[in-house]
Amino acid sequence: MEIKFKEIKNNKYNLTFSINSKDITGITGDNIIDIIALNYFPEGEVYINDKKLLRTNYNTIKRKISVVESKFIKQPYLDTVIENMEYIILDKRLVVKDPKKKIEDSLKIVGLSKSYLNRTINSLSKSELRLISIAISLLSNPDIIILDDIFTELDIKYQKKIYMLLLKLKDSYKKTIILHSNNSNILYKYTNKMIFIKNQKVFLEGKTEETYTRVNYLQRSRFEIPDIVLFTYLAKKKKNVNISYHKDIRDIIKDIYKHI
Amino acid sequence: MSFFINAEGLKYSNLINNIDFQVRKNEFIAISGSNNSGKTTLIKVLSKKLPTKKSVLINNKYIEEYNIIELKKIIGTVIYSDNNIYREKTVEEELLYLLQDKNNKRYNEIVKLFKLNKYKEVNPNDLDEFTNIKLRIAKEIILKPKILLLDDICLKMTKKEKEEILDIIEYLKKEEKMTIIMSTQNLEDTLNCDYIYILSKGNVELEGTPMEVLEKDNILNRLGLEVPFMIDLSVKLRDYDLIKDIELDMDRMVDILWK
Repeated sequence: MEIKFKEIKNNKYNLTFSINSKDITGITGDNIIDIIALNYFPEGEVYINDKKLLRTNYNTIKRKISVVESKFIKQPYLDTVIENMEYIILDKRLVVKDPKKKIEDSLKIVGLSKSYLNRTINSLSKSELRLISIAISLLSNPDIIILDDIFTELDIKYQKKIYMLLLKLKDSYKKTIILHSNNSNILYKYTNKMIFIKNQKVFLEGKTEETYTRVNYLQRSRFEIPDIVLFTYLAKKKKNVNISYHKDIRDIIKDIYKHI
Repeated sequence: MSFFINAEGLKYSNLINNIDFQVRKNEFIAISGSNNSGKTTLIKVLSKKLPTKKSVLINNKYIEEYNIIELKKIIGTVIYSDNNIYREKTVEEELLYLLQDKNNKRYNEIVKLFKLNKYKEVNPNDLDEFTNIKLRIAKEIILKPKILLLDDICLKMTKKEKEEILDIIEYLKKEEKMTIIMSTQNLEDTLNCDYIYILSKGNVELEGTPMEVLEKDNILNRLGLEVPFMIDLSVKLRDYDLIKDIELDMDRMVDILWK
């Protein structure tokens, strides 16, 4: 699915950008999750697979977008995973033939067994809560999943696990994945397209490797630069060394070895 | 030398198993570990938010022997995941709740230290996340406790915000002689501490000064922890005999590699 935003003018914004399902797209800077999630009808033009968003199709299209918040919000008085998931189906008025099966299927996609259904929310770890949040987002069969700071609280093992899940959702389930974060190391590692937002405008948009290596340009507007990029940039700038930008530290070591 | 905080063979449920944890006065200690390693549980035990019996000595007295008011004077605690409960309508009122005097020297010190001047009239519930964390720390230290416990506070901060918080911690240690214990998953935050405990499944897996611990990249990676970029780079370059020592500064590293 491709989603294009053209001259969106809500809340002093002026945004034109596009997102498609081939990429894991990272967004950094001003938080525009509300705009992408269509939490309000946009002032401007939005096209979903070249179909224009109108007042008449707004609710149908909005339902195709899910947001996974960084913090799991447990419903008051509902303790278990199944109670919280059933509540979402009711609260969002999701049309589901067999809710129990839908819940089990969603858990299965994120790699959790049925035994989690009766676990209490308070007994779950941060990483398990992240997986449950993603499973909840799948209940509405979204085409677009927006994840807010999904990796920040996780260790490398769980970061990789979630990343593999996002790749699976993108490649096997054809979901469009959008990550919002201000952690440049995480965005550089886990995205292949970036959109930088500054002063309510798109400051820079493009492939992750190509955008983050515009160090001087990004630094002038106070965007954080990933450590591995910054080091390479310094070597190039200060010593005129012809090393390349890499994502993996082992590759940069090999490059340094060649250029000493 | 006796320890200011001393826990030997500390256990809590199945979350902490037999930990020896000692802290001297005015030390800055970091506790790190992957998800579910026991970091938050340890901070909660040290702050008496989770009960223990004859396990944790604070200044040679078991923690359960302190009443709440005594403990509040000794220990300030900020746990990232705990909900904020603000009693007052403005940041100023919130900070003055315990001091009761607007002209109090301490109030002005705290406002300056945490750069809260422009937020004085703001409702605490309307603060951005970073300022909110600063207010929570400010409230905890306004009565000058001897110990400050911080759990995962840097979690969502930008590099610049982290630098500001770590500068405040340095000030509290140096100028107010506070003993600080901070848990974090990000080993980058531990570089300036005096000693690190790395937990895994409720046990101490590694301990030592930052340099002793952080260059053990294989063990840290096995535990799911990301070694700070400059340490990782240094260790790997050293393995190739390209440098002799760990270098934390990027500019200096570039100068060393390409003289």
